[in-house]
Amino acid sequence: MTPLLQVTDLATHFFTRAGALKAVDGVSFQLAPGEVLGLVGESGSGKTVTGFSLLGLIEPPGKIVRGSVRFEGHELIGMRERDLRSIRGRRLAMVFQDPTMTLNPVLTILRQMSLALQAHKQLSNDAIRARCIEVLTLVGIPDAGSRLDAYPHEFSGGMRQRVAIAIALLHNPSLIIADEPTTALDVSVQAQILTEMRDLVRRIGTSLIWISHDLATVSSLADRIAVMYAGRIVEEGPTAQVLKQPRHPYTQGLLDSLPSRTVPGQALPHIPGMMPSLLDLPQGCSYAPRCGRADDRCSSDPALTRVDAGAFRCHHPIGLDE
Amino acid sequence: MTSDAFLAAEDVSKRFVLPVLWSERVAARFTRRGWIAPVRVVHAVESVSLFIRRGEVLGLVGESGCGKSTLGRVLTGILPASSGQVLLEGKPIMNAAGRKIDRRIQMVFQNPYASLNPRNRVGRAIAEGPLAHGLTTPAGAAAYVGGWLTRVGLDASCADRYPHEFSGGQRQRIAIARALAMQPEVLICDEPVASLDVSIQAQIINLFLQLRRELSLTMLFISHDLGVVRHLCDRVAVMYLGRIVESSPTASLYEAPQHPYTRALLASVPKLRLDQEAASFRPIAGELPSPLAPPSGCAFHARCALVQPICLSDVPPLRPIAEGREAACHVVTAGDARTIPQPPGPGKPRETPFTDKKIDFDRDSE
Repeated sequence: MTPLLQVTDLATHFFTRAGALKAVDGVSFQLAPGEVLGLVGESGSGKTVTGFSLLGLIEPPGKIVRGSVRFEGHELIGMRERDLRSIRGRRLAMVFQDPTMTLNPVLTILRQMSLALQAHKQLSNDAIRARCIEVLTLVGIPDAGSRLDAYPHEFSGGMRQRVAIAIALLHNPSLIIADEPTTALDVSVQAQILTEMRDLVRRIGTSLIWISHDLATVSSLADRIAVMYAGRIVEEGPTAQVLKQPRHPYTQGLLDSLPSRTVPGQALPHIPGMMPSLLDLPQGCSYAPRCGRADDRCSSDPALTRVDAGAFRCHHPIGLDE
Repeated sequence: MTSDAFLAAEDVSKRFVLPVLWSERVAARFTRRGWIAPVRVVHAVESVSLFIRRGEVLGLVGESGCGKSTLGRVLTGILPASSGQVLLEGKPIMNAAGRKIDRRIQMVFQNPYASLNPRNRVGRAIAEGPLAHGLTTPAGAAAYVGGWLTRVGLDASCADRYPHEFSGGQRQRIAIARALAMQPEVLICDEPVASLDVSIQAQIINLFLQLRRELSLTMLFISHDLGVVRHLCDRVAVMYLGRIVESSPTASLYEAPQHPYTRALLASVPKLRLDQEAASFRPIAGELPSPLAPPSGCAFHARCALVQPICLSDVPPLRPIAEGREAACHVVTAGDARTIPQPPGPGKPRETPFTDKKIDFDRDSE
């Protein structure tokens, strides 16, 4: 199957006074139609900047310095802003972490949804209303017709995030990028949104990139997982394979850090140290300074190795070391 | 009340009266007694009694808005209780004027970016309290601070630096050192690892485990993360809309949760999915009602699969259901802890749409 999205060697750097900050540095992955990719990493790993780069939302001092993003046959990098606009929001939509920030507090739900609709389509008022009710119902807002004239502050956090998801769905996009959409929500609400998202993706066949720091959340939703560290994807593969048989020591470290994997009361096998500064990355593998398996070879860049359906960047992969 | 209680809350309530908005003053009614503006009261904590034994770590879990942070602040003595009292070794921690008189309870806050003054050097932030309480002298302060910094895994030289020079995990260590420098016997931790990344979170959890062992601290660990609580705590209290609905030793709570809310909460946590099978979590229907207008009877009744007529009218008291376990539920009572009906089949949430329940509750509370 031809991929819906093909990202090759994408690099986004921020040119600050302190030097070039390599937020994303050589990210490649692809996504099939209807596939859900979980992009996992800690803060500063470059997962959000990757999402923003795909949408062309990088602003100075940030710049996409190289790479290619092919989406539905179009090359998005270097595309004119006008052409990008016709794709963004229509074929490619985004849901952000905090719906209180992304919804306009002084516009009713109907007004902001109709603005998003009219950006790409001329529709009658009745048609707009009908479409809004349709997508709001789809994301689990009961009695949507009566909530259209409400303002964002009249909704709870979970309901607001549903509205944000509904806006992303307005044009039936073929890809939705969701950046930590449940992080700000409580577990019970998160479970509601996760269930609804999973059903939606199945029902309407949209592809989804779910960006999150939480492996458990991602594993409940994603077909494939890509683990990011210091601006690179260090491991990628089918969800079950990555979680069951992680090859990269960082993936293993992340999994071991979860309290659910250790007997209560025992010290957790934590990863020592912290992520290196993106301004001053170590030579070779960025994870080497924190890695128990590192040796001299790790001062050279590990190439991408493919095994089974997955891939990783490591000189000393777990279970495959010679 | 158990006799071996070290820190105890006795029937503590905390209400916040919200300032009346200008628009509501306009809408105020004129009666014989004068202008009556609607008064809005948030029932953040409602008659909570709990105790922590010496050396015990009690976990306090619940969703945002359930009142767990407010309860933590009342227990620390930062906020005075609206009614009820907090006792440390049987003595109130507040004097009659509502001022905290006990240094032995200290708090660690969620966000180390907000809880450390950016313009104070770390050393000064840590030394301030101990100096005021005579735990150290101006001459000995540097060594005293250095000792506590080393204890939390930082270098003593960090004292001369400012908070912005540290990462989130390091700042949380500084915040812990600041609380410990007061030589507390009880440490109240309000979501101390929530804002940290997984790998850093594990480091801080390990630090808590180590400190607890070394200093035999008594702790209240407030968190929404049920995995972290299971790892750290001896006993867990579950809060829902201002009240404790269940308290139990950690192992039995996670193995066999009794209160329908505890069960639903535990079931809603996504677990790491290692096989292709469908994910093993189930959402709770509905939303947390507003503490401005708590529902009548059991606050959980509108979302509960086991609801009975009595749940709509009477608030269930917290009562013993098994050895060391308590639950506030009309349906789950002592004796039938093993035979209670389970909620409807797995993977099938109750067929209630996600209604905004506030409207119903307004009617109920009339």
